[in-house]
Amino acid sequence: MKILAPVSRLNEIEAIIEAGADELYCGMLPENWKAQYPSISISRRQEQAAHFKTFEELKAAIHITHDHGLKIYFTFNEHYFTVNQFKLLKSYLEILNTLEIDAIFVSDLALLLYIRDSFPQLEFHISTGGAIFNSETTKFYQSLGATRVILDRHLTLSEIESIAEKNTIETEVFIFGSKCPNVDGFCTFHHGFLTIKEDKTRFGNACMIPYEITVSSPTLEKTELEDLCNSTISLERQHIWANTHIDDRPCGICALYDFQKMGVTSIKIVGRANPSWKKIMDTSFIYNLRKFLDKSPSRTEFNQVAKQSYNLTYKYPCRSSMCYYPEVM
Amino acid sequence: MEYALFISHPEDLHFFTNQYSHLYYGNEFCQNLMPSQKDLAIILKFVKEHSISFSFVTPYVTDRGLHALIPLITQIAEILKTYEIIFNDWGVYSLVKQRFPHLELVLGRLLTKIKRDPRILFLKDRLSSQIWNYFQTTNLSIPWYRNFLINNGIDRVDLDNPLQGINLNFPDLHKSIYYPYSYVTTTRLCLTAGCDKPEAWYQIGIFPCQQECQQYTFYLRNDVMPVKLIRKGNTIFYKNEKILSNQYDRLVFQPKLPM
Repeated sequence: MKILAPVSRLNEIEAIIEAGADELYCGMLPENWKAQYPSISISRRQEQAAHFKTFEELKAAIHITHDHGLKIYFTFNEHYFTVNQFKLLKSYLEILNTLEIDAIFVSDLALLLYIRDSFPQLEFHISTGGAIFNSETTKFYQSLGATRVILDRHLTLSEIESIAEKNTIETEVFIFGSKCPNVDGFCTFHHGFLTIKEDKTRFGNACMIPYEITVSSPTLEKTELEDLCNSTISLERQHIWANTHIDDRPCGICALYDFQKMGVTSIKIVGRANPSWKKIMDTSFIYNLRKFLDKSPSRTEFNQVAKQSYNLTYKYPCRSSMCYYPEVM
Repeated sequence: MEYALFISHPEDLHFFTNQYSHLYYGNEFCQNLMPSQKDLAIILKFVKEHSISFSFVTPYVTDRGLHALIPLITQIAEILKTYEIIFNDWGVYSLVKQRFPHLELVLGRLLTKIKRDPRILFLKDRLSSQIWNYFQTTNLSIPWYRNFLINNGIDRVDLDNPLQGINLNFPDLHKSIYYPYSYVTTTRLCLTAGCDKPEAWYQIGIFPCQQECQQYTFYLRNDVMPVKLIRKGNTIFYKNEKILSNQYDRLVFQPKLPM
């Protein structure tokens, strides 16, 4: 079970590997893309902090990673592209093909087909944007040439186990960071408005906007509905739900115990745009707990140590709303 | 032009009038809302008696949901010679291809990719024509993707009607437009599940529900959105009563939010 960690700066790669990463993923937003499509990414991230600055930097990152005997993957996982964008996309794939990148994350079926047919040497993994909830979808992507599937965040452990046991392809699951409240592959809110700098409140993530909430029901009286809306239930839940996206400590660490038994290939840390210290801390936190599994602890022992480690590392108690897999919390 | 009615409950069959020749039935967003065999039997009886076309609408599903779909599709196959499966999950597509190879498969609106963020509408004058074009275009603009669909027996795609308009200039596929509700986003961390239980206020995850979505509809308003968002169950919709394109050959009318 490998630890997959994000990188976006050359000077953090070795520290993240030393902290325990087994494989890395990254992004790069080319200048000519930003010039033409300043509000649209190629990889679900707009901010520069999430990306290497140039293909030269990316090339250097690949060399550093390979020198350590590890693999590094490139995020090309925007949900969809249009026909007019393919001239640029083709030029990026041509470069990636020469850089010895180990695999590309894709969501868009049109891009997947293009890579498969035009760049058969390039390996590709299906991003969480591919909306994989079952074993048949996994087989579908495998039949198209994918070598790994990243399962959706919104799956229980038993649902993940059902997929893992029925398939022969590599599986990757989320273990830490940004617990997006909506299904990634089916969310059509736009995340790229950050370039409209004058009004970040208006054009930030739509799920985090403080909405006024009202409710209707065919059977309840108006006062009952107002009570429901003003109660902690709807307002607080909306607030908590909205914050699962930006809280940088959503965690599924207790499920390491289960993922190892299931034979999951890789556990993923979210956070390409995080500062280096945070990436190192997250990687080290997970590495130490994976190492603890080598001592064959009981479920109870593992959960106790995992929770203590989380509390000490992040100065937060465990919170079910920020837990990826609350069934084993 | 073909006119279809999309309902999710047999009691809504009264919306079916002689202006329609096609019935859509099912759910796209939640496997807990897939119909019972009893309800499906009522629908199939109606379809048979009225000699109308039928589409069974299916959601994205886990392995449990995939398993639950098989008896439903088998039940339809026993009654109807021809009908469509609207799929919103490539796993459902694969399952139907393997087990029911004679069926017509239609790419559902969750799999026809276009941004539905209402705020795009506010930006029309501030975006370049290139970016505005992106927001009006789907990946169905790409010829080799359309060929992939056609070569795999998919010659119809179902689409939403986003506020910013949609470019449907791909004549090699049949196109259906859903009206007047467009979906924006969906979740399995359903905020409606347990929404009237004070003890569940901190419960944000995949938990059993009592189908509270059948009781409550939430409305989310903020000035940053040009329209109010409607949260029905695990999904957010908006209403758009203007259709800016005429390049479609089936209009799918939703008299109620399809949950």
